[in-house]
This record gives sequence, C-alpha cells and structure tokens, in this order.
Amino acid sequence: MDNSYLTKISATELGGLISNKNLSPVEVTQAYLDRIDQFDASLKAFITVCHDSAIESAKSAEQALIKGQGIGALHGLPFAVKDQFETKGILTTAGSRILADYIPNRDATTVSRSKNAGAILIGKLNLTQFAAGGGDHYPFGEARNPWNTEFTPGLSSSGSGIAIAASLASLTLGEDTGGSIRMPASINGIVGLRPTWGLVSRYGVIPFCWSMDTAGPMTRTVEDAAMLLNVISGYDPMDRYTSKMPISNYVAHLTDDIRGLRIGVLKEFTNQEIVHKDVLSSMKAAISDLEKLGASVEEVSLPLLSNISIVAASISESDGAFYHRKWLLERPNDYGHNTRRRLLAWSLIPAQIVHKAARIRTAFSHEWAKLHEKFDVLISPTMLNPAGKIEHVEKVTEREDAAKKFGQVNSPSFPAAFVGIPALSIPCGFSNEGLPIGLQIMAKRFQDALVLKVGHAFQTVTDWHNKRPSV
Amino acid sequence: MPDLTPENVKVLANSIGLDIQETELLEITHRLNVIMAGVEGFEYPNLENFEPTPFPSLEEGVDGQ
Repeated sequence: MDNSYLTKISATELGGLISNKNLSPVEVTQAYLDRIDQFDASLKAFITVCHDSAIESAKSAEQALIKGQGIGALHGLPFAVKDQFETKGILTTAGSRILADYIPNRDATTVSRSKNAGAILIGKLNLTQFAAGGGDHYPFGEARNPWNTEFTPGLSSSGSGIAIAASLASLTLGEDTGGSIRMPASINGIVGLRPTWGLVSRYGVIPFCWSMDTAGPMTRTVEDAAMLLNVISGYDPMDRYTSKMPISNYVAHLTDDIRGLRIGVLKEFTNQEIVHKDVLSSMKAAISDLEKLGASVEEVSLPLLSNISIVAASISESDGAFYHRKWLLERPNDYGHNTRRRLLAWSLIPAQIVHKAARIRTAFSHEWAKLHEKFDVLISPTMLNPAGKIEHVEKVTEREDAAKKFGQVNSPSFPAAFVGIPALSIPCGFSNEGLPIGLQIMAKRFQDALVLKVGHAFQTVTDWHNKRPSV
Repeated sequence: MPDLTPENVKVLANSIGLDIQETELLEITHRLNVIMAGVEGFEYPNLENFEPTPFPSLEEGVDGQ
C-alpha cells in the first residue's frame, strides 16, 4: 500500500490522526523511512538514518496507544535533527570529518524533550561544516535544494530545510547563529523559527557562538512550529543561559486576528538597489495580505542596519574561531579550505575590534528598541535574494573580491541574532525561476507567541506553505 | 587604519601558535583586513558611553526589548 500521502500533511494534522488511532505510528514512520530511501540519495538531507531504532520506537508508541497510556504532544511523529545536536548512541558529526566517529553518551535537551513528548527520531540531518557557513563541499554528501538540485539548500541547517520541504520528516530541529534556521527555511519554502535567545536550551548542541546560538523548529506550518516550541522551550538546569520566565502555550496563542497590529517594514532590506525584484514583489504581496488581515503597515528606517552584519559577525565568528582553535592547530586539513581560512582569519581579530562590536551591540539594541515604541512587529524579507546556484569558494586573491564576498554582506538575518529577539521565516512567494522566498517577522524579546501568531494569521489567508517540490 | 600585510598576519598567527600556509596567507590577510575595516568604519556617536553587551538579557523588557 502506498502510504506516501501520510508524509504530505502537517505534523499537527498527523498527530491528531495518530492520537485518535486512525493512523499507527509504525505505518507513519515506515512511510517516512520509505521516502528517505527513495529520494535522499539525490538530496542528501540526512547524514544518518535511524531505520531500526525508529521502527522500534514506533512500535513502543503504538503499544502505548493500544494500552491507553498517557501520550505526549508529539506522540508518534517522526522527527529529525541537525547533526549538530548530540544524540545518545547515535553518530553526531556536526558536518565535519573531525567528528566522523563521535558517538555521544547524552541527548541534547531539545532532543530528549522531543522524545519524551513521544516524537520518534528518524535521523540526523546534513549541515555545512560545524554550522560555519558555506563555500565548501559537504563532507557527507552534497546537500541539494529539492526545488532545483542545481541550487543551494541554504546555510547551515540545510538538511533540516530539505527534509521538511521534500517531506522526509514531519518535524525538524535546526540551529541559528546568524541566520542558519531562517535562511534554509526561506530557501526551501518552509517555516523556521529562531526563538528568543535563552528560551530554548543549547545543552548538547555543538556550539559556534555562545551568545547567539539558538535551537529552534523548522516545520511545514507555523502551527507545527508552535507545537514543537511548546515541547522544547523553557528553563534547563543544564544550560545556565536559559530563562526562568514562565513559558507560553504557543499553540493556544495562535489566532487569525491581528487587527490593529502595528507592523514596520524595514526600509534597509527593501531597497530595490540591493534586493532581488522577485523578493520585492513577494514582499509587496505579503504586505497587502497583512493589511487585509487588519494590520497597519508602515515603512521604517534604521540606517545602522546597512552595516550591522559584519559587526555582529565579528562577535560570533571570533567566538567560533576560539572554539575551533585546538582543532585548527591539530587537524587543520580536516576542515574544508574555505572554512579553515575563515576560522583562521577570525582567530586573529584584535580584542579592540571585538570590544567595539560589543559596545555597538548595546547601542544597536537601544536603537532597535526605539522602533518598538511605534511598532509591535518588524518585517523584512528573510533573504535579499532567492537561492543561488551551488558554488564553492576556491581562492580569493584580491582584496576587492574579499570585500565583496566577506565584507559587504548586508543580511536581514543578523539583527535578530545580534539582539537575541525572536524571528520567524515563513514562505511568501516564489521567484520566476520557481525558487521559494521567505518573509521574516520579528518582535521584542520573549514575544515568540506574537511572531507565531502573525505567521499563523498569514498562513490562514495564503497558500505558500502548502506548495511542495515535485520530489 | 592601514591594512595589515601578509607578514604582519603571519607574525600575529604565530603569536597564538597558529600556522598559516604560504598558499593561504594572502587570502587570510584580505579577509582579516576586510573584517577589521568593516568594524573600524562603523561610526556611532559616544560609543564609549555604551557598556558592552556580552549576551542578551534573559528577562523581558530589559533595554526596551
């Protein structure tokens, strides 16, 4: 029997069918495993597929249902996590040959919480080396965009984006330092939430930058993201930088009523000189949809945004370089050459530069707060361009070229990472080449429920999230 | 601020025990100069009066966020 239709519906819907005993966790898990076997050889979303343990877990979940035992919010749902999340007894590579044999003896808190809520781990997802961006080959197979395999699947939670878009997992987890959840979400046409920094535990997530790394859901719908956030958020004694604030029921807050909401459109990220025309068209249509929902939408400018990415990167990348110092000394050739050069350059940043960046962070935070005196929510395109073709950075010999490639990056994803606020990417259109485009929704710190509410309202009047690639 | 030369960069790397291959030295020098120029060129009035933020607050409402 062809059960592939099971892989096309949202996790929320699938969970309802499982808990009502209309579907068995075993048949659902098998359907996903079958799809992975059929399509992942060309997409390379997965580094490890947990065939046997997933079926075993699904059988246990089925027995729990038969016996009428209490079930969790994710009962029987097949999920997969970026291979940056430690998983007990299962290979965890962080996308690097350096960890090609690393089998942790613990689960990341987000993984254990998902399992405890009944989710079934079906595999570990591909990523750029150590979540450190792109430009190199993927050591465990070249991840490809399911909408067009010649194009990039986004950085760095690539596998998470592919797996949801191509219906190879029901739910996934990604990690976002400067945009690594939202960019692959945008590029693959799915939902990606970077939660408020400190809302979700980083315990067991192989780090890049301690003050920016954030784990979060990558899903088919906003409702699915809210459901997963309910499970993974909240204080964790194993991560001293998780907040003790009470958490919301993010699903319960989802309504389609955003009447009267004040939305600011960030002018620096809708400037036609730097933004692709198809992205601008999609933004225009998205703004119109939000207005139809009763929100008031107005353009707003924050000139600092034009140059903030390199400043934010000077904090995240220098911290990442410190984490990698031992391996840079002992195993330099086990990095891709672009990743190695990048980490070496950032290893040499003078303290004065990093201290200046930390002060700019405070000033920028004040400026950003002023925007919220007038607006509840700020929006922008998630990325200035649709996905580009897969390319590898081989060698940069001119300073101008280096400036173009590494210095003049004006990324809409960095501001939220810099100030630690929630930012949601949802699909809002397609380019003329048929590649997805994402809308980014940001709010004040710990207003994750608000960004999800706006995203959900948008999805009640649009159909972009239901589009799937032909695989 | 003048750009660092490849020789400067090599000395800097050696000072923290890192070895940069000759074939990579020029590119790393360019990358480093671009980063430093980007942050050094960022201007904000009275920046010295803003204390650094090592990490975002874990409470709602701090700094208006």
